[in-house]
Amino acid sequence: MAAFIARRLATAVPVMLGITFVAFILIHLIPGSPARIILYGSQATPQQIATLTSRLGLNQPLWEQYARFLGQLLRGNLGTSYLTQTSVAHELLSRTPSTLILTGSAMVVAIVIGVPLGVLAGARPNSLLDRGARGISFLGVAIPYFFLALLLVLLLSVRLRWFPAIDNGTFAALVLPAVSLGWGYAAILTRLVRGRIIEEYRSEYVTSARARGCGEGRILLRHALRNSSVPAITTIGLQFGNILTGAAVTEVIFGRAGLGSYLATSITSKNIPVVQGAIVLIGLAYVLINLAIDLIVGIVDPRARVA
Amino acid sequence: MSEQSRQTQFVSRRQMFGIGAGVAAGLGLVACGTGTSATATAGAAKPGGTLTMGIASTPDTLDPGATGLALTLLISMAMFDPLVWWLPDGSGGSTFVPGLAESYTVSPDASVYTFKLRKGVTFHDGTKFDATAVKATYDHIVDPATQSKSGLGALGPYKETKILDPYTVQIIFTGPNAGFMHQQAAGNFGISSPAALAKYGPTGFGNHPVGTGPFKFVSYVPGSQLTLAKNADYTWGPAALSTRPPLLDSLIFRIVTDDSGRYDALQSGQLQIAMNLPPNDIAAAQQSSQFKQLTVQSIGTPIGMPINVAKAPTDDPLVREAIMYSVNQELLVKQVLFGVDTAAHTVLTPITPGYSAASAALYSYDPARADALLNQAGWKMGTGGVRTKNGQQLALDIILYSDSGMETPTEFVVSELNKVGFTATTSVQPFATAQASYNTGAQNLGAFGYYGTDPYLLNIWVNSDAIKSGFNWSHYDNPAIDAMIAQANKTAGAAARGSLYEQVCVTLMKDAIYLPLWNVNDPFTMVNGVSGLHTTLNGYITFHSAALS
Repeated sequence: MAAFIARRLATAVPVMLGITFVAFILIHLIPGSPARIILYGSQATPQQIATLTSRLGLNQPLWEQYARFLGQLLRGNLGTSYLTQTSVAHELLSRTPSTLILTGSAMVVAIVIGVPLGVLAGARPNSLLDRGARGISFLGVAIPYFFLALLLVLLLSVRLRWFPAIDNGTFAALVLPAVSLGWGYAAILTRLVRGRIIEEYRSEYVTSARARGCGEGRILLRHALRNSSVPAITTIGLQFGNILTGAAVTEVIFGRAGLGSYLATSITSKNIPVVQGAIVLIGLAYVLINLAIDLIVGIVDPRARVA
Repeated sequence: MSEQSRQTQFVSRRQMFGIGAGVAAGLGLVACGTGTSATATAGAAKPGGTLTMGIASTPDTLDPGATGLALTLLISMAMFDPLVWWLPDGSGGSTFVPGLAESYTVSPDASVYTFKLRKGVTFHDGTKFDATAVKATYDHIVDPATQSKSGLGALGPYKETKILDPYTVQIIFTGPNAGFMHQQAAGNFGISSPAALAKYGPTGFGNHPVGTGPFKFVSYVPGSQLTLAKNADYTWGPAALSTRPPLLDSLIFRIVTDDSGRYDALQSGQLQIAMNLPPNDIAAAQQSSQFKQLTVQSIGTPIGMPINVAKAPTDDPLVREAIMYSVNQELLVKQVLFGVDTAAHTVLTPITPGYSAASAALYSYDPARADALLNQAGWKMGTGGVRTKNGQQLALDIILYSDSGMETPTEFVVSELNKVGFTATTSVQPFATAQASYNTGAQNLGAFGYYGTDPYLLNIWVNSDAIKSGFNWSHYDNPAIDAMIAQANKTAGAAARGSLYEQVCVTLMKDAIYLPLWNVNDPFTMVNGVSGLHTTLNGYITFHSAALS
């Protein structure tokens, strides 16, 4: 297992290098001098621009700048926000918990709704329950999460006033963002689990289990569900990136101070160090999540460990 | 632009400065309508309570001297006092009112300002207010470590602050700076606690702002909310705002970047005021009996299109005048801007000092006049409704920069120009690219708009030195105007200075170098229970006497 983890981590190194390079080169792809962009509109004197350019090290050769960027990254220094002059690492970390809570809750919503619905629907294909579940999951896939978010806010916050429209730090304020973000993934899981369960039911080991006199509940949960769970877990892992993207929009809609909304506002204000830091952090999160998924799959399905 | 600063700086998407502000955006706010101190009154004002206002973006810093965002100045007006307030006089004009200075004098060449300071004022941290605080504040702004953005530019040619005695200071400039009284009231120069400046350092002060204003800093969660509490000792406010401590217990600025999110939160009761709602939500709020609106007029140059005098066919004054007669700004405001803003007819907004009514009356919508002018210039109506001369079409190149909020209004302008025989192509470029295009003169029409409290801002965009690398996108080269503006800026007397600027406005409009489109109005939408808000002339609202019922 340790060798497996080490191998996976080793393959992550070039990926991370690639991510840091893309993040680094960003500042040079934007038209115009970064110093001018930072001082944009403040009637900066040429002297102010020159001072800032040299302070940012923008007059050094590109490779030197990249080496310095990497060196600072390794020390956990992501630079200073152009806007607030505070440490980017600190700003990003202070917003990370909020985003983790939101994406975690969305995952919980997806799993708690998606898996049982898929199992029940798959166990009784074409029943009323199955048709209902398919209808719900169809809507979940068809309605974009940001649109669902707006509908939920209009109905449950503005009209009924059951939930806050913007974050106020309470659990109630987490419900609408988590549901709107998680719903689409619940739908995907429902369809996936349902399809797998139906397939497993057709396989010979289920027939033989039935022949052995095994109970239907045991067949469903111990055999069919367990065998369906590998693709489900992989899907959840692959969807993590999408959930993170969705979190950005969801955070903006619900006024949550998380990584996503911070990245979104930093892009519009051309706050390059923050965008760079967020790219690196999110890239790292992707790599770690993929690793975690591989490990979980390995635990659930021993065959995957060898592969 | 994404939206959306004050001081002599650009208007941009809502709060960031930048030229040519986003449609609804963040130009200065100023008193409603006639410029009287617009007060939102409702119900019986009760002391106590928490007022939460939804704002569209995150402040860059809470230090008014360092900030580059208009939004920070709005917030800082609740925590800081200026030396002298600049407020509406109630009859459409403006007046200077004692703030932390009881009186002031200006040297005849407008380079030395002497202030007599008020006694008995204390900062939120208990520090006594006196001349050292004034010196510390101004020295802090010019300190390179502060990295001041808008304040440094607004300050002008600062030399030093001289303490004559504990309650008398002189702010001295290396040259004339007649706009300083407007600038010092505009928010960047809120007097800061010298003890706090020393304790937290030039950049740390931005996280621990300490002033003498009606509200004290309590806490700030970046990206989320800023909480302020009542300063119970505050008795030095100007009579026009309130001479008593504030009624509210606390004032919260809640950051909600999503435009409709602010309206939703206003409807769900989490916000009492929402700033800069998009036009469709404003239209909805106006239909509702639950909400009322305070709009604050912008100060500076209205949103419009600089006309390039160095590129054919707009190098011909007759063609430029024809453009001025062919666009119906009133219809533009009504059809494209939902009536939130007002039609503009000259190079300054009506509440800006130096505004010239005579210059605003020079042109009105008159397509027949435009036709006559173009005929006179030799442009004959050709096939397809496009005029030609010597085989050339009457074609305009329009360059906009992305996020200027000008795309839809420009479509309207082009349709107006088409009616009199122009054809036009519009391209949208990123700001830095557009700026380079403007400087080389690739456009006939561009996009512009400028926030500034003093008419000296005209120097930024009509001075002949600003053609190659500045904001003179009209490529207007008129040494007489350069000299007249310089003369105005060394004239301390307000009346004499005003009349110089009015002459400048008339000349600029006669030369037809700018097509003014609309004066931005900043909308504050609030629940009916909010009362006691005042607008200031430099584009903010104050919370001195704000209350909830």
